[in-house]
Amino acid sequence: MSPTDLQERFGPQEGLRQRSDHNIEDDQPDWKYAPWMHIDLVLVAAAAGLVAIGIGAIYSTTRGRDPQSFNSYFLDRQSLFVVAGGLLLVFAAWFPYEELTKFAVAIYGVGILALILVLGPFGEEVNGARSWFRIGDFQLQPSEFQKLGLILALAVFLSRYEDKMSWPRVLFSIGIVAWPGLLVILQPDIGTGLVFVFIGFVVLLLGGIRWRQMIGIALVAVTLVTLMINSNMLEEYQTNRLRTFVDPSSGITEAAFQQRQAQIAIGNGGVSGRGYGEGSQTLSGLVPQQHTDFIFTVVGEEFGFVGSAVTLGLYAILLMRILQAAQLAKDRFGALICAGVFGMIVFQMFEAVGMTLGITPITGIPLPLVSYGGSSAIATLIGLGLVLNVRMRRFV
Amino acid sequence: MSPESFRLRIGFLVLLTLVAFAALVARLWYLQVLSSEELGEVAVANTIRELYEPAPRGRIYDRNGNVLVDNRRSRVVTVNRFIFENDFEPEQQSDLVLRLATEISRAGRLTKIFEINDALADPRYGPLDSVPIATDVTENFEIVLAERRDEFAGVETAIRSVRVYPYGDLAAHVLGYVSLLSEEQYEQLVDDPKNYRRNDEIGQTGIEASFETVLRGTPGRTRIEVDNLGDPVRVIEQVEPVAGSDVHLTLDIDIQGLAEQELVAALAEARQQQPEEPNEPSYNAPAGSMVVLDPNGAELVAIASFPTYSPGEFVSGISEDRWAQLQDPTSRQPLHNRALAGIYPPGSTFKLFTSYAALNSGVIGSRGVLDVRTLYDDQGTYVVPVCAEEVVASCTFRNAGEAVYGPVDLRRALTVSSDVYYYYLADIMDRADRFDREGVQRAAAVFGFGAPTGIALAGEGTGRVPSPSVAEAAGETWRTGDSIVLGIGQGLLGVTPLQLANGYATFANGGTLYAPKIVDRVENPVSGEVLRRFGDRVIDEIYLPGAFQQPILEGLMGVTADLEGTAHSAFLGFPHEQWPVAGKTGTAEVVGKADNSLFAAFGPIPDPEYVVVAIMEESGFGSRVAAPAVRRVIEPIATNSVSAIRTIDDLAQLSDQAALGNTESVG
Repeated sequence: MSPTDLQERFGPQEGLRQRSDHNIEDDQPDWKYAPWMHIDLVLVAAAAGLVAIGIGAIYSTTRGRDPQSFNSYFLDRQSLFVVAGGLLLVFAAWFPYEELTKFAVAIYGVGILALILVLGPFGEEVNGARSWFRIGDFQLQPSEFQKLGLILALAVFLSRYEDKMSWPRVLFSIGIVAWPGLLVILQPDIGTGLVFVFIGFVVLLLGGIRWRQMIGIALVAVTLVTLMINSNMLEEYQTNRLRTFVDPSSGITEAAFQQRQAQIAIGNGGVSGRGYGEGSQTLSGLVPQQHTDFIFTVVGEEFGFVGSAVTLGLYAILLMRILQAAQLAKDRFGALICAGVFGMIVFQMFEAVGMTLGITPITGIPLPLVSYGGSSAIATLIGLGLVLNVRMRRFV
Repeated sequence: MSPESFRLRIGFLVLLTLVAFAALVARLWYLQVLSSEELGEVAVANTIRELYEPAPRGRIYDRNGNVLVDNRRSRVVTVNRFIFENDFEPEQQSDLVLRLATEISRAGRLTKIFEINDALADPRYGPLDSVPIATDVTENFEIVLAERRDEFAGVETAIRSVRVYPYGDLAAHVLGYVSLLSEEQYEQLVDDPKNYRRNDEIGQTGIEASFETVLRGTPGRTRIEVDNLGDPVRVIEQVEPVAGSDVHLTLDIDIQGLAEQELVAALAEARQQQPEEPNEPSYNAPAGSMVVLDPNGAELVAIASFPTYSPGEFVSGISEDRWAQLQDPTSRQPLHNRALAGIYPPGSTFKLFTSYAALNSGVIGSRGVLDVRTLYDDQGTYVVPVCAEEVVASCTFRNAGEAVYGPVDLRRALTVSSDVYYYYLADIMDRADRFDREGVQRAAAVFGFGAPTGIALAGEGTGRVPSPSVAEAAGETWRTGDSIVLGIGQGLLGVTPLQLANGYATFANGGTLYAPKIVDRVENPVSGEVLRRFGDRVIDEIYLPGAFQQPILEGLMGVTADLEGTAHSAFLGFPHEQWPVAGKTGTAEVVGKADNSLFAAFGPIPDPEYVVVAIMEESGFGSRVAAPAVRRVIEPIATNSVSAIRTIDDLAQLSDQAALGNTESVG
């Protein structure tokens, strides 16, 4: 991509641009610039690979021991979620993303409303956090979708201005992040709150925040977090998790047990893994939350270092393609959507894998595309649909 | 924002992502490549439970098929130390101990609080072990435990197979005891095919120790896969326990009982004696031993050692205090098997071997200084003809008790126990160049002295036979006087009771030196199939022609039968006609203490079936203490009237019957 391209892309005009704005050789036929010609198949393949690994791992940890009657409940549901997510991905990619500038605020607002409602009597509490709506046999986690709402709202807001980032604009952006952030912390779900913060960080970074603004925010945030930990704002299980993260041998807490068992499972995998369905930690159900947040332990135990490296490799490909899409995007709005999806996936991946390896604190964060869970899978797939959308529409 | 800045920021995100991936991959490498082996073991331990089923230990029988050591099942209460120490506050701990003591006692097994505390403090158990705190607990306690599970966290009951001794303390030293493996023993046995575990028992002494590999069964092992709740999912491997093999001894428990009883009685009698002079040491008679063996194959029939101990004390774990008490020198080491390990000067009982040495080296004989029948004038003293520096203190050696025996030949010298006769022989052997200077030492070696007998029991003493060559090799001087006192079994000479008995057996059986046999065979405990039979182990065939044997035998028979024999009074009224018995008294001097009393005997002549040797410490004359004791053991054997020893159960039954009888007569 030439500097001219970039300049073009972030030119003074807002909104839709005509194909003729671009420096395209005139002898190129029209169909060469058609969106469907620029679907990122590498990204699709990487995502499909991760989804397949996820379904395999979920089945391994939930099917039970009896080969005569394997339990396919979780397998069936995750397959359903993935199919639904796939359809929504196609929709998200098909729909001209520029149109989203009109709906972004509404989507964000609905998300905020849902996050307020989930704290009330409509919400359902699972594992100590009030994060779900129950709809028949399904549970909907609004915070997963609000990640997208946040990305869209930030992208719309920050793509509106081209001049240098001012403090009021930064503070307004922080406000956009803070509302859903505070609401999920009330559930309480600190992990998702941190995802929101990281999304905000990445979008602001590519949205033009100045370095000194970034440093200023970071200093204030560190001070606030320190105060929060020392106050009694955190739930006991959360302080426990933080404490056992710092010193895993501090008492026999559930978190320490979970982390220990997760590392045993991964270590047990060795270089080549125990083989599919052969992981003893997995088979015995020794890792709590293994089909959701700790799904990576199944990959680690059954496919070993090789399988883990392949999985991480797929994430690396996926993430690099998203960043590339941000770079290629024809406008700032598209670039910032990609930035947000990148931030969402990279942070969750690092946290969800890192906590099974004992290098990040235990928080309830699903591994994108791999963990069991409809809301997370569907929201992530929609996010990827948007990235595909941005990339394939770079010429139109 | 300039395009350069945008590119820079993308680059920053790429860098951040690379750092994150590098951290994850590094950690994965650490867990899955570097720590994989260790974590894999933990994973196996997580899901595999090994259940361990101890196998019963083999039984020990006597030669007549009486069970000497058996097993019984005992209900043991254990407390898990980890739970006890981590889940309870100190006051809750003492509360639990109080409740345990109360409930176990109420269920029928009286248990004191301090006993439980002592057991819980036992250093032989690790911090994660379940420590046994009470044995032989009744079933009632199990009901209490089942009903009040939550009050007794970490408390469990288990059925253990424990040793039981139907004859009480009889033959305790031979049988030995079993107790918990020591830490060192466990380290050595970690890879043993018999699958030892830290809290297993092992034979520590006696047959229990030397036949440990035979007696110990192979424990059963079941490997079970469990789920995250610890519930079994499937059995991976199951190995049934295999019971240990039975060991059949050559001991005769009836004669064993007789020997022990007479040993104790004789020592008690010895203690009644008063010293003739007030400044002489008193007769403490603290210890002694008696050995009965069959000279044909040197099969041990009885081995008694006093003081003794009770192997049953070790069954439920011996307390540290009691253990210290057993080790304390003032308790005279009851665990010590004196028959095997005690080293004593044999005194005059050694004259058999000095006689053999004189005959064998030619000192006595047609070309020697005396013939067998030549009379030597015993005037009560022997004066060394060439008395110089080489003989310290005195050139004159006297008979014991200043006796004067007059003319003695070899036969009479043995019968009356003339020391002067043997002083002369020993002096000649030491100084006359034409004779073997170490003839006595050679004879002693031939009869097995100065070397372990080779019995299949640990802890056997070697004894010592002093000689000019040994002394000179050690840089000491050997004096003629040393040879002279060796001739009558004194000085530095030291023998074990078993060596002495085996030496006499070798003479009695016509010259075959055997390694004494204690185990006859090993049998499969179920089928009774003989797995191994122990034959006679001949160490040496000794040159013992009739010309040597006859005069000595006559002399020894005279000891019990002749009017002037030293054991004549002890054997007065003994059925010499039916069961001719040969013997030799010994009264061995020990510096600063009363004499040791010895007697060695064998019979019936001419084909002896029994050798009996008794050694009693600080008990006085052999003729007065040891000889009567041996007679009281031999006579029932000779007259075939050894009374059957009753087991503890039989005795209990008898006393019950007696009690019933009394009630009836009262009624």
